[in-house]
Amino acid sequence: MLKLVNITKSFNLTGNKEDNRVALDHINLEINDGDFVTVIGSNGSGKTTSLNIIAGTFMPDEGDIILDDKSITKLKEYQRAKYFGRVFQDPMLGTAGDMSIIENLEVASLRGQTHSPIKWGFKKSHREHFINELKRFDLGLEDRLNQKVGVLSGGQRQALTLLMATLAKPKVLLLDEHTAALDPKTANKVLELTERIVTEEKLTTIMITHNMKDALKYGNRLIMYHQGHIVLDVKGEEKAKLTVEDLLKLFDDVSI
Amino acid sequence: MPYIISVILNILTSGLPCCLLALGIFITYRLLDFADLTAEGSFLIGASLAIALIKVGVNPYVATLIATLGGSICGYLTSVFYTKLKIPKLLSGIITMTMTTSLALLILGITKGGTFFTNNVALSSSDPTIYSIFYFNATTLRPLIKTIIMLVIVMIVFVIIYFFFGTEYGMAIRATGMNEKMGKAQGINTERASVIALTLSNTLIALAGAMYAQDLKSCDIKISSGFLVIGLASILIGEAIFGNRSFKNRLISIALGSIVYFVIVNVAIELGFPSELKNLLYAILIVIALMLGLIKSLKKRKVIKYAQAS
Repeated sequence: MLKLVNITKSFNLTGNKEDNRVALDHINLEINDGDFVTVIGSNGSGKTTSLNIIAGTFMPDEGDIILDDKSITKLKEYQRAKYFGRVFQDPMLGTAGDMSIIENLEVASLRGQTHSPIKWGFKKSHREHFINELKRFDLGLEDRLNQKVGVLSGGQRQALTLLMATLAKPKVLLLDEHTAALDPKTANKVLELTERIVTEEKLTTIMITHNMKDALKYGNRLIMYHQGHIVLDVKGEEKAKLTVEDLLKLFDDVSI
Repeated sequence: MPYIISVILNILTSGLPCCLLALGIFITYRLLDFADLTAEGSFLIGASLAIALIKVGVNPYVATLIATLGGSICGYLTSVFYTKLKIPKLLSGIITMTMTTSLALLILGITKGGTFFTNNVALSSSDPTIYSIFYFNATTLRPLIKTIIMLVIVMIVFVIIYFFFGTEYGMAIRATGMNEKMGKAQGINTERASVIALTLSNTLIALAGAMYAQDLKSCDIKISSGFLVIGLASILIGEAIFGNRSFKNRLISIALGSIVYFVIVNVAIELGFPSELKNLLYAILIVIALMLGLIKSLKKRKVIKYAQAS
C-alpha cells in the first residue's frame, strides 16, 4: 500500500515570497495494492508533481510517503527505483537511444539491484526471456534485439519502456501521460497494451492522462486534482457510472 | 631501416599513446556527455610525474603507475567538483586543468631537489624508460621494440575497457551517460557513475601522457597543449570512417581513428605543410571530421525515416 500523508510542495523560481506557487497543498492519498488509478486535472493542478514526489524526483516540503508501512520520504530517486517502474511522457526519456534493445533490457532487468562491475552484462538465459516478453508485447521486435533503440518509433519506444518498467516487477507502476506524445492510433495501442500488462501482472498502477475518455475507460479508480488539492476520488461502481459530461461539469464547478 | 618503415613506426609511436588519450576522452565526451577539460591537465600530470620520477631514479614502470594514478586523482577531483559542489561541467574541468599547470611545475621541480619550480626536464640517454628496458643491444630495432611495447599496453587497456563497459555496471554507466533520467529511473546512482567514468577517463589519459613523454624522453610544461583537440579529432575521424554501430565497433573506430589522424598529419607535413603551423592543420582536420560525421548522420536519418515509415 502506498500512502501520501500531508504532502505539501511549493515551487519558487524567483526567491520572492509573493512568487511562491503551491503545487500540492497537504495531500492525503491511499492507494491499495492492485488499484489501477487514473489521474486527471488541468495543467498545473499538481498531478505530475505528485507522481514526481512519489518517484523521488524532488523532495516534498512537508509530509511523508509511506510504502508498505515504511517511510521512503528520505530515499533518493535512484534508491526508490526498485519500488517503482516509470514511463514518461517523452518517449526519449525512458530508454537509451544509442544502446541496443537488448542492452536496454539488460539494464532494466537489474532495476533496483546492484549492477556488478565484474559480471558480464549480457546473459544467455536472459535472451530467451526477453524474446518471450517482446513477443508478449507484440511489438515485432523479438528478432531485432541488437538494433539500437534510436531507430524505433515513438510508440515502440514507449511500449519498450513499459516492458522495461515491468521487467523487474515494481510495487507501483507510474505512468506520466505516457501516450500523450503519440498519435491517436498508436496511443490506443499502447493503452490497450498497458491495461493488458497491468491486469496480467496484477500491478498497482497510477496513470496520469489528459484524456477523460481514457481516464474513465481504464482503471478501477479515478482521481482529479485541482490547484494542488484532490477534488474527486471515486472507485469501482461509482467510477463506472461516471461519464465525460459529469467530469466536464466537475471541471467547470471547481474552476470557478 | 628503410625510410618508409621508419615513417610508419614514427606515426605509430605518436598514434598509439593517442589511442589511449582518445579512449579517455571518448569515455567522458561520448559516453558520459561531459566535455571534460581535465584531459590536458591529466595528460600533463601523467607526463611530468613519469619523467620527474624516472629522473630521480624511480623504476620506470613504478613511475608510470604513479603517473597514471596521478591522472585518476585529477579525474576524481573534477568529478567531486561537479557532483558534490555542483560546479558546472566545463568549469569543473577548467579548475582542475588550471591547477595542474602549477602542480606540474612543482612535480618537475623535484628533480632539482624540490626547491625549484622547473618547466622543462629532459632524461639523459642513460636514464631508463618503460621502452628502454627491452632494447637490449639491438640498436637498430629500437623504434620497432618501442612500438611493440606501446601496442601491447594499448591492446591490454582496450580489452579491459571493452570488458568493463560490457559488465552490468559498465552498461549502467553507458545508459546514464546517454539518458540521466532513465539511469535514475532504473535505480542507478548517476552521481557515482559520473565519478567512476571521469576517474577512469583521466587515468587512461595520464597513462597516455606518461607513454608519450617517455617516448620523447622529456617533459615540458607545454607538452599537453593541443592534445584535447587531437583526441577529439581522432574520435570524430574514427567514427566518420569506421562507424559506431556497436560498442566494440566504436572502440575499434577510436583506435584506428588516432592512427589515421597521425597518418594524415604526417603526410601533410611530408608534403610540405609547415610543421610550425600544425595547430592550424589540427583545427582543419577536426572541422573536416565533423563535416564527415554530419553527412553520415544526415544519411542515417533518412534511413531511420524510411525504416519507421515502412
